[in-house]
Amino acid sequence: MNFLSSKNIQKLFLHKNSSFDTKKKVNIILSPEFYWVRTFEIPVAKPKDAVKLLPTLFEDILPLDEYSYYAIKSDENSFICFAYSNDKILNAIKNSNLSLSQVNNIFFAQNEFLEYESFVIEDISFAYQDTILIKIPNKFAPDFKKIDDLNSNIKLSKNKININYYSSYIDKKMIFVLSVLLMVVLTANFSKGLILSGEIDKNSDKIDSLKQQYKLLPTIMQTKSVINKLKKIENKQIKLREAISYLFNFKKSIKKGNMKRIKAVNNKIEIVFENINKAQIKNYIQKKYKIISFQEQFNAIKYEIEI
Amino acid sequence: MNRINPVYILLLFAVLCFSSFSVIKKKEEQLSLSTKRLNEYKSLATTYNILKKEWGKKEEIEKTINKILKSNFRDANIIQEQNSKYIKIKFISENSKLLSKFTNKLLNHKLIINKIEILKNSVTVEIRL
Repeated sequence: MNFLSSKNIQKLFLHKNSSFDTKKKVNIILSPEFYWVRTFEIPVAKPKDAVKLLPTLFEDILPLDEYSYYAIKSDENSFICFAYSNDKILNAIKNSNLSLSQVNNIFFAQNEFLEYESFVIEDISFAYQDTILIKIPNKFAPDFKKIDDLNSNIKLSKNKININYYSSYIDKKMIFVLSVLLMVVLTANFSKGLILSGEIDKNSDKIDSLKQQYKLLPTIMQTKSVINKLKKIENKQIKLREAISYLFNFKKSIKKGNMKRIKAVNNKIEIVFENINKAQIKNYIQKKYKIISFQEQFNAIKYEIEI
Repeated sequence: MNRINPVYILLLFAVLCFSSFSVIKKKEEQLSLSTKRLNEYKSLATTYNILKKEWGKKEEIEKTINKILKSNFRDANIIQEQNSKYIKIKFISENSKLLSKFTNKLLNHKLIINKIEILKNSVTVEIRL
C-alpha cells in the first residue's frame, strides 16, 4: 500500500507481507509487528539516558536476539520505550522489493497515527489501548476508520530511528579493534614510507653534489666511458714505460753490445743494437715481447717489437 | 542512519594496509637501488677524479713539463715546440748522465707520451696535451 508523498518523499507502511513497486525515495512507517513497545518509569531526565537502561528493562520480555532501543519522553520520568531487531527490519525492507538506498527515514507506527484511536490499513486493524498501538483482529473492528487516502493528512513525527543498513555478522567491537590495529599499521607504514622517501631524496642530493664536486658528466654511462678511455691511456703508458725500462736493462743479461737508438710510437718500438750477440738479444726481447721484424746491417741490428 | 557497513570500512583498511606494505616494499627497493647508485657514483667519482688529474688535465701536464725543464739541465740544448694538441721537446746533450736523468724524469711522471726517440746524444719526445 502506498501513502502519498509528503515533502516529495513517499510514505510507506511496512508490514511483514508488504510488497512495493517504486524506485523513489521513501519514508517507512513500521507496523507494530517489528518492534516491542512498553511504558517505563525511569528516573532519568533524557531519553538518551533511558535508552542505556532499556536492555535490562526489556530483558524478561524479549525473545533471544540482538536488539536496538529507542525511547520517547512522555511524562516526567515516564518514557515510551521501543526495542527492535535491526536485521528483521532490514530483511522486511528487502523482501518488500525496496532497495536500501531508497529508504530516507524509518518511523514507528506507534508515533505516527496518534490522531486516530483506531484504524485499518491494508486490511489490518489497529487501535490504541492505554496509549500503546496494538493489532486487532479484523472481526473486532467493523467500524474502524480505513486509511487509504490520508497521505496529505499524515504528518510524520520527529521520532525517526537509526538502523544499521547492514547485517551485523561481526561484532562491532571486534571491527573497531581490528580497524584501530590496521590504522596503527597504516600510520606506521606511512611514517616508514616518508622516512624511506627522505632517504631516497638524500641519496639523490648526494649524487648531485658528487657530480658538481667532481665535475662528473651528466650520465653514469658517459662518466664510465671517459674513465675507460683514461684507463686505456694509463695502461698504454705503463706498458710503454715497462717496455723501455726492460729494453734499457738488457745489459743485466747480455754483457756485450750497445743500444744505439730506441724509438717508440703508439704500441711499437724500434730498437737498434750494435755489436751485440744476435741470439742472446733476440731471446731477451722474446721473453716479454713479440718481434715484428728485424734488419741487420754491418754490426748493427734493428728490431721492431710490439708492446 | 548507518548506511555504510563497518565491515566494508574494515576491508578498506585491510586493502590500504596491504597496499601500504607493497608501497613500503617498493620504496625499500628504490632506496636500495639509490644507495647502490650512490656508492657506484662515489667510487666512480674517486676514480674519475684521480685519472682526470693524472692523465687528463692540460694545465697539470704543462706544469709538470715546466717543472722537469726547470731542473738542473743548464748544459743541455732544449728545443720546445707546442700546439694545442701536443708539446714536442728535443733535448740535446753530449752528457749521457744528463740524458739519462732527463729520460728518467720524463718516464717517471704521468705524461701521455705519443712518441719518444732516444739516441746517444738526444731525446725527442712528443707529449699529448
